Amino acid sequence: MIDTKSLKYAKSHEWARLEGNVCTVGITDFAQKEIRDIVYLELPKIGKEVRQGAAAGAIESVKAAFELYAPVSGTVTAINEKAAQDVTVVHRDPLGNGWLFKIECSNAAEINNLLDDAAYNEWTAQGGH
Amino acid sequence: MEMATEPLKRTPLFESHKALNAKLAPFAGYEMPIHYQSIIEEHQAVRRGCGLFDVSHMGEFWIHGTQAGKFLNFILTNEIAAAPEGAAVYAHMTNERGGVIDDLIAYKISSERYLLVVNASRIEADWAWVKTHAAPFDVEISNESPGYGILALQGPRAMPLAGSLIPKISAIERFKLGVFSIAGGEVIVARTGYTGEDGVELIAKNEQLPFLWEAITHAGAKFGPFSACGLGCRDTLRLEAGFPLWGHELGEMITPLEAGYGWVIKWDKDFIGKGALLEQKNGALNRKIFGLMGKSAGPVARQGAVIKTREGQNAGIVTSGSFAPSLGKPIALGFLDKPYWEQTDFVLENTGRQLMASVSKLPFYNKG
Repeated sequence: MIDTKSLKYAKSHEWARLEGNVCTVGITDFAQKEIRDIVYLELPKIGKEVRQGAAAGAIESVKAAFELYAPVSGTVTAINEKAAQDVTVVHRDPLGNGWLFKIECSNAAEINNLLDDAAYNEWTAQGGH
Repeated sequence: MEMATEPLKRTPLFESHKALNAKLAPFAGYEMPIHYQSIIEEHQAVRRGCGLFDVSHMGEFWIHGTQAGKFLNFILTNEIAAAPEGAAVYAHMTNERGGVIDDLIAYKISSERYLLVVNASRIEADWAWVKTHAAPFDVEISNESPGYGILALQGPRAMPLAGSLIPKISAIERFKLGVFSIAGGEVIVARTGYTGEDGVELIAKNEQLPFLWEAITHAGAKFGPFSACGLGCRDTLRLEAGFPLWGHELGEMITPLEAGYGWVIKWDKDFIGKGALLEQKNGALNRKIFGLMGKSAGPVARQGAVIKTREGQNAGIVTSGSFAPSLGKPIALGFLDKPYWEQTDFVLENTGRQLMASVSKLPFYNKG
C-alpha cells in the first residue's frame, strides 16, 4: 500500500511524490473514479519542459477528454509506457503502478504549493471542483 | 435577472435508478441515467449477454383513423400504409427541403392504429409538424409522451430472457411487434433496438414500467452477463453499429441521402420533401456520411473534429466519435465532401490532437 501521507496533491487531482529532485506524477483515486472508463493516455514526451499548473498531457474516457496538469515545473524524464498500453492500470492502482510520468524539478520547493493529504481529502469532500 | 429553468422531468423508473446508484445527468429535459457502473462494462453486457435500458424519455404519438396509413405515408419517407399489421418501420420525417426533422419508428398495430416513437429532443418540433400536416386527413392524433415509457432489452440473450417471462415473445420476428396484456395493461413488445444486437423494446404506460423493470431484472441473472444500462453505452453501441443520431448524422439541414440512408426513402409514393430529395439523388449529392476507424489507439475525435487528407486539405467534419469498447480503438462517423469519397486515409484533428484513421465499412462491429 502507498502511504497517501507521503504524497502531495494538486486541486486538479494529480498526486506528486518527490524523491530527491525527481517528482513522480499520477492521478488520484478520487480522479480515476470520477473519470471512469479511461480509454487513452496522452503522456508528455520525454524531455518536455513543463510548468507547475500548466497542461502536460490528457486522459480520455469514453465520454470526454481531461487535461493532465504538471504539479511541479521541470523536465519530463520518464513516462509510464506500460500504463499507456494498458490504461486500466490507472483504475486498478492509481497511486502505484498507474503512475504517469516523472519530472526532474527545476525548483523542488514548488511542491510546498500543493495540498497535503488532509487538505486534499477536505477538497474532495467538498466535491473537488 | 435569473434565467427561468424548467425542472428536469423524471421517468417512472427514477427511484430504481437512484437505488442502483446511477450517475444521472440532464438529457433532453429528463434526468436520465448515464451509467450505473462503467460504460464499458454495460456495453460488454449488451454484446455478450443482455442489458436493460430505460428510454422513457422518448416520445410517443398515437395516430388513429381510416386515413392514418395514408397520412403517415405523406409525412414519412418509408412505406407505412402497405406494411403488414404488426410491422415496425424505421423512417425519416422530412421537411420540404428533404432535411430530416426526426428519425423514428412507426409501429403498425392495425390498419387504423399506429404508434410513432420519436427522439426525446425532438418531441416538440415533431408534434408541431404532425399537427400542422394532419388537418386534410381523416385522422386523430395525440401526443402521449408524458404518459408512456419504454424499456429496451438488448443483447444476444435478450430474446431468451424475454421468452422466459412470456413464451409468445419468442415468436416475434425482427421488425415485428406483438401486443400483450401485462401488469394491468397493454404492452407493445417490438423486436427493434438501437444497439446492433437482437432484442426487444417494451412500450407501455408509466404505471406499468416498474413492474416490467423488476421482472426483467429478476430474470436477468440467468441470462448474464446482465446489466442495467445507461445512455453512455447506448451511444457507444449505436456508434459501433453505425446508426445515426439526430443532431449528429441527422438534422433539418441534412437529408437521408447525405446520411447514407437512401433505403428509408420509397420513391413510388408522394411525401413531403420528395422533390428536393429526387433532385439530390440525380446528381446533386455533395457530402455523405462515412465510417472512420482509428489505425491504432489514439485520441478520440469527437463531434466537430476536422477530417483532413494526409496532405492537410480539409475533407470533411466528424459528426460522432467515441472509443469503441468492442474494437479497442476510436471510431467516428463524419461527412466527407465529394472530391474525397475515393480516398481511404485521413487525419482527424481535434484541438491539436491528431488521429490517423481509415475509411471503414459500416457497421464497424459485426456481431459474432
